[in-house]
Amino acid sequence: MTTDTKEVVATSGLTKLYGSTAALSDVSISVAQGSVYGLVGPNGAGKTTLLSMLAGLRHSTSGSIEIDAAQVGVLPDTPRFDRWLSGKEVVELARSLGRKDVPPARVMEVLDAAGLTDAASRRVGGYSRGMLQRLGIASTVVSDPDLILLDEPAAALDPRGRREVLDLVTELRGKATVIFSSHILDDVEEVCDTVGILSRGELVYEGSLPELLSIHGTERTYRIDTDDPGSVVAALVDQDWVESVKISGAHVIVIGTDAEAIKRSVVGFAATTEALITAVTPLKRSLEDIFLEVTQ
Amino acid sequence: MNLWRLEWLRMIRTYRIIVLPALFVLAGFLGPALAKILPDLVGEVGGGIEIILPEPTAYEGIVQYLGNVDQLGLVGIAVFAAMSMTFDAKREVAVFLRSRAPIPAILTPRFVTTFALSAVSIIVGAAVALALTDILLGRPPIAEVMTGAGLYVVYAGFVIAMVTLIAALTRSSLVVVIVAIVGIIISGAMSLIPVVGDWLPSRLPGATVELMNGSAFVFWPAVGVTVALTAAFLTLATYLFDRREI
Repeated sequence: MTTDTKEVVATSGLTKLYGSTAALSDVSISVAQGSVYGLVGPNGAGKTTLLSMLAGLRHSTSGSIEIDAAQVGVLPDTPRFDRWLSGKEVVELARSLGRKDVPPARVMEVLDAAGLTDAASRRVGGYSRGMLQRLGIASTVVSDPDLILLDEPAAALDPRGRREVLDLVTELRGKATVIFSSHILDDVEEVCDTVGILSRGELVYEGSLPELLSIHGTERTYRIDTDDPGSVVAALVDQDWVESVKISGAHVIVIGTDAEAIKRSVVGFAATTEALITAVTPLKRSLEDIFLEVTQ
Repeated sequence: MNLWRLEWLRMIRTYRIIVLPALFVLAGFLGPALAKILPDLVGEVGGGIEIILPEPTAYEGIVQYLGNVDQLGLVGIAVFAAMSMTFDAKREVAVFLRSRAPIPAILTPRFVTTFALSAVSIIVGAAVALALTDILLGRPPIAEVMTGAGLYVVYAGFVIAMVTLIAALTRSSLVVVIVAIVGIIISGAMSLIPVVGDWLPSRLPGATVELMNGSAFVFWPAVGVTVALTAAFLTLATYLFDRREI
């Protein structure tokens, strides 16, 4: 990643072995100050391991981690606290263990932002899973950390809770650097400037979302509706402007070598081929499609 | 709110501030009371045969108390210590603490509050046993019993440190308690080894009886070793907790 802004997190060749199994293998990421970095990958890809290592809770087998942040806030995927503490006490404890200059009034401020004002005095043993998640976020942000590590923060929430978390992360942009792990790609697409895709412990992509979408054919993918997909595919594979082609149900999906070449050539191809072509449609590939392709 | 207040709230809201002293106070009541009624109980179950036992003495009242408190009290202390020290048992709770505070800052309040509660429980239990013995059985040897209670407090600190070390090696509270109880039993058996036994921590909980029997105070080596081992266990536990991954 090339950027003029300051790096808050930089890892180099980060590897974590459990016995002979590599949870992370040669991972190098770079996170710019004030950005929201989405760490995506299927279950078991190494997201939690990487976040734990960035938080100093796990050691690397090899490689290096550089963190330029005075205060790091960490939120595990399913936050839990001593059941006999009240929500307010949890956040007060988090405040007292963080920066010394954060005023006590900040506690109710973050509880209010998390929608927990009414439940602040209740013991957390009676909180729902969504409330615990929101309490976790409140206790993570109360001491205004420079770097915030959120492990699947919206995974346990209902749509409304998820919306609130995404809004909160969006609000943090520019004020703090956020690394946000998720397998909900819509969330990543909505709030992240940069993504790192982990697959089986390896970083298979790091860069901006528009760049990812461009590389993986969002503007150079077309769907061809035809009565004879087999012969269309056979004719397309020999074209020099075609990068890949496949049959998908009753359609043919074709990805061009570049957006301009396919735009100029695909309609001409449809006109000249012997098979009956009923439609040629530019196709916007979803991040999910790209994610599945990259992590295959 | 800080980590000391957290431990204070833990003591109050999990009722351990009541339960642990109650255990020792109960032993303090039952010891002399059982010693007092034992001759009558034995007489009742004689089945026509008249059994005459000598009148119970203050010495027997205290010995009965010590018998009650010796193992049960230590198990109680080990259980409460395990509940405080296994803070890594639930990963999410551990992440909250470990990402915010260094291990010594987490361990110190937990050790100190558990030790203080244990010490108060032991002293209060001994005081109750002395008072009830005085009422029911005659004047007990106060200085010897309280000195023995002091030695028991030193041993309790060792047990809590041992539990802390075990908690640094394994995460489960149940496993910590079981291993600690096995450790207490083994260390108790080792105190029977001639000469070596005089230097072991497990010499301390039974010191009261020896003191009441008129033995001189010969427990300094065991006290020294116990304090040294307590410090060593806590230092090693701090190192191991610090290295443990969450």
